[in-house]
Amino acid sequence: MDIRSQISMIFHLDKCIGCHTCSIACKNIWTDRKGAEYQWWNNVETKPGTGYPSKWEDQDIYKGGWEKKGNGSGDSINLKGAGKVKGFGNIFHNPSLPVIDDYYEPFTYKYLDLIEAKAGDDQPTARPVSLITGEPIDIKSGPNWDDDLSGTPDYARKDPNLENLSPAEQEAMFQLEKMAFFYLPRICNHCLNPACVASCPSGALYKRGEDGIVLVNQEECRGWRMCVTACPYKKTYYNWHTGKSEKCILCFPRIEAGLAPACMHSCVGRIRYLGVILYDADKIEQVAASDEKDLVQNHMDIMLDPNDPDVIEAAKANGIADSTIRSAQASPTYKFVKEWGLALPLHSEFRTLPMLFYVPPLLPVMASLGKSDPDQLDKMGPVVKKWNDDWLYDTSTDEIFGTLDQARFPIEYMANLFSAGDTAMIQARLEKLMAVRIYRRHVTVGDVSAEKSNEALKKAGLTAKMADDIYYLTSLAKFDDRFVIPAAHREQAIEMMEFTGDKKGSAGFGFKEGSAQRGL
Amino acid sequence: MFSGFSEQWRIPVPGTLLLVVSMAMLSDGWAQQPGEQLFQTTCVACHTIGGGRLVGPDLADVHESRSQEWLEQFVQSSQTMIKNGDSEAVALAAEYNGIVMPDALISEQQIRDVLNYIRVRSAGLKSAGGESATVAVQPAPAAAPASPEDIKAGLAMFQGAIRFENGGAACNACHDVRNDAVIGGGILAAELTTVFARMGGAGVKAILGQAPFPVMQAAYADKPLTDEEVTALVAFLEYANSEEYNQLPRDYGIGLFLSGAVGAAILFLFFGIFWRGRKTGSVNQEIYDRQVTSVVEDRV
Repeated sequence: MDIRSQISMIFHLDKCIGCHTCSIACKNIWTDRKGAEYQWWNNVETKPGTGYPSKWEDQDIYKGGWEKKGNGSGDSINLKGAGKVKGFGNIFHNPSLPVIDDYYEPFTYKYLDLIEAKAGDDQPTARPVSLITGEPIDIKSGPNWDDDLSGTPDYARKDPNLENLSPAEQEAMFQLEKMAFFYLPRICNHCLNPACVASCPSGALYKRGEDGIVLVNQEECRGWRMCVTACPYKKTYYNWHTGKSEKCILCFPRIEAGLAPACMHSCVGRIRYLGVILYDADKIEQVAASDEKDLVQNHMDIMLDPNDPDVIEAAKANGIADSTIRSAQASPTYKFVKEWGLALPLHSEFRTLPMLFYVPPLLPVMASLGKSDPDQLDKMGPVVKKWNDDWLYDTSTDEIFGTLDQARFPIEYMANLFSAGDTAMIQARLEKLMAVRIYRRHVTVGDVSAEKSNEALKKAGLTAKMADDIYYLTSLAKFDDRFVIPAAHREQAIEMMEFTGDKKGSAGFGFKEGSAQRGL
Repeated sequence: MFSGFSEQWRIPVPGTLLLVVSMAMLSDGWAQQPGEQLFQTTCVACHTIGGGRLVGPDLADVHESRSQEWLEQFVQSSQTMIKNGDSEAVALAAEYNGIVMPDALISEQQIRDVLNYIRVRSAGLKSAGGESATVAVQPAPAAAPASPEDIKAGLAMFQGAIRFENGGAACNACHDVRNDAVIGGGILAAELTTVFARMGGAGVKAILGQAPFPVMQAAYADKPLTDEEVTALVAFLEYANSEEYNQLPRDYGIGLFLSGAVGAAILFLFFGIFWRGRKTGSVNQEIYDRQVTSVVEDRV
C-alpha cells in the first residue's frame, strides 16, 4: 500500500444556479492577463450543450485521455493522442489541437470611443476589438455562448453525450427543451492518472506529492502543447503570449494559507466542497486499465477509509502528516463520495481518474406533457391547464416528487456524463437524493407520511441519521464544514526539495524573478 | 681648426662624389631602358621575349605582326577590345583558352616604354642569333611529380591553415577550388579548379611568383611567396585539376529546382497521408459561416 493524500472536490449540481461567479473570481485572480484572456480555468457549461471548448467531450475530434486497446483485464492503457511514440511523431505538428475558434477569439470593446469620439451625426459606439490582434472584429463566439440554450440545434443537439441515446429518447428530451437543462461547472480535475502529465515531452507537468495538485512548471514548459491535446477535459490552455501552457492551480497559494480556492470561496449556490481523500497509489495503473463497466466502482474503491486503523498506520508510515489524516477524517468529499455514495466523477471513461466529483442533478418532474384522453381528463384537478385539444400540461402526479422514471432527463444522458454509461449508478444516486427530499418533507412540512419517508430511505439505503447529515451538509453547512483544508506543511515539502540552511542568517525574501516571457 | 676640418672631410668628400655619380649613372642606365623593369614586374608572369609561350604568347617580334597603335590599345585594355569585337583580339583570346590579359594599370608613356623595351629586346635577340634565343628559353625543368607532402602543404596554405612566410593572405580569401578537401573559398576572384590545365604549370608558377593582376599584385606587393610555397601551391593546383572530374558540379541548372519541387510534392503527399486524420479548422466553423459579418470599411 502506497497511501497518499489528494485534495478532492465535490460540485453539487442540484445547487448550481449558473451565475458564473466562480468563473469571474478565477479570471480576476489568475487569467486576467495577456495571452490568458481565453483561458477559463473555471467555466460553467449548460447541459445539454457542446461546452467549452466546443465539443470537448468528443475525443474522436480532440484525441484526449487514455484508451484501452483490448478488453482483457491485463491490457494496459495508452494516451489516445499523445505519448512517447505519437508525441514524438507529432512533436512539430500536433494534429488534434483545438484552434482559437474552438474556444473563442477574446475581445474587448473600445469604450473610450463612447466619450472621446468627435461630434457627428451618429451615436458613437464601442466597437469590439480582438484582444489578440487589436483589430476590430465580429464577435463570433464567447466562453458561454450557448449559456441556457438547452434546445438549440447548434449546441444542445450536438452534445456528444447524446450519442448513444435513441432518437426517440432524444426527442423526448427536446420536447421539453425549454425547461430541461442544468449547469456543469468545470475546473481541472487534478486527476490521479493525469494524461497531461504523461504526455509532456519536457516533463514540465507534475502532480504535487503532498496534495495531488497538478501543476505546469513554467520554467520547464517548452510549449509543445501535448498536454492540451492529452487532457480530455481540455483544461490545459496554451498561452500564446508567453509560449507556455497553463492550467488551474487549484489556488494552491490560497490552499497553503488555509483558504478555499477562489471559485469555491465565491460560490453563490454553495455547491462546492473541498477535502482530503486518502488513496492507494499502487493501484492507480490497475484501476485506470480496468474494464469500462468496472471503472467507476474501482475508482471509488481506490479511495480508502481514513478512520481505518490500518490505513492510518500505512499513511503515517508513508509520511502523511497527522493533520492531513485528521482533515481526511472530516472531509466532506469523502462523505459525499464514499460514505453516502452520492457523487460521481465526470467522464470516467477517459481513464484519468478525476478527483472532482459531481452530485448529479435531480431535476424532478413537477409536471408532464401527455396526450390527453377523456379518462385522464376526469382526474384533472384545478391546477391542470389545458393547452389544446390534444396536449395537456399535467401536474397531477400522485407524488409531490415525481418518480425517477418521469425525470426530465433520460438516465442514459446522466450516465454518459457521470458513470461511463452505467444507468444503475445514476439511478441509485438520484434515489438517495430523492429519499432525502421526501424525508425532509416529512420532517419539516409533514404532509408526507412517516411510512412513506421511511420506505423511501430504506429503498435508497439511507438511515434517518445519514439523511440528516446529507441535509446538513447540503443546505446548512458553514465554511469550515464545506472546506476542510489540510495544513500545508510547506516547510516539510520545501525541506524535501532543498536545504533551507542556505537561507539561514540571510535577510529578506530573495529576489523577484522575471515575469513570464516568450522564449526558452 | 680649419686644417682639422679638412682633415676630417678629406676622405668623405670624394666618397660622396663617387656615390652621387654612381647613382646618377645607375638612374641614367634605367632611363635608357625604362620598360625593362616594368616588363620584369608586370608582364613576365605570362610572357617571354623569345622564351616561348607561357600563359600568354611569346612577344618576340610582336611588332612585326601588330601595329604600334593596336599594341598600345591592347595593352591598355584588351578586354575593351574584345568587348568591342576587334577580330584579332577575339581570336587571340580564343587561342589562349579565353584567358584574357588583365588591363594594365600603367600610364600610356609606360606602355610605350614597355613596347619599346620589347622591340629593343627582340632586335637584340635577332642580332645575337638563334643560339641566344634558345639560351633565353629556359625549358621548364622536367616537372618532378608533386609529392603528397607538397599537395598537402599547398592545400593547407591555400586554406590558410599554414601561414605564408611573408604574411600574405591565404588564397581562399578570394579564390575557390572545387575539391572535397576545400571547405568553401572566396568568390571575389577567379575559380581555380582547372587553372593548372588552362595556364600550365609554368604559367601558374609565374603568376604566383609575380602576379600580373592588379589586385593580387597590390595584395602581395611586399609579401611575396617563397619558392617553396609556390611549388607547394602549384602541386596542389595540379592535384585539384586532376581531381576535377571527381567533383560534383556547382551549377545544377534547372535539375535542382525540379528535384526540389518533386521532393516537396512527395513530402506534402506523405504528410498529407500521415496526418490525414488531423483536425482541420474549428468545430464551430459551420456556425461561423452562417453568421452575418459587419462590413469593416476602415480598420481604425
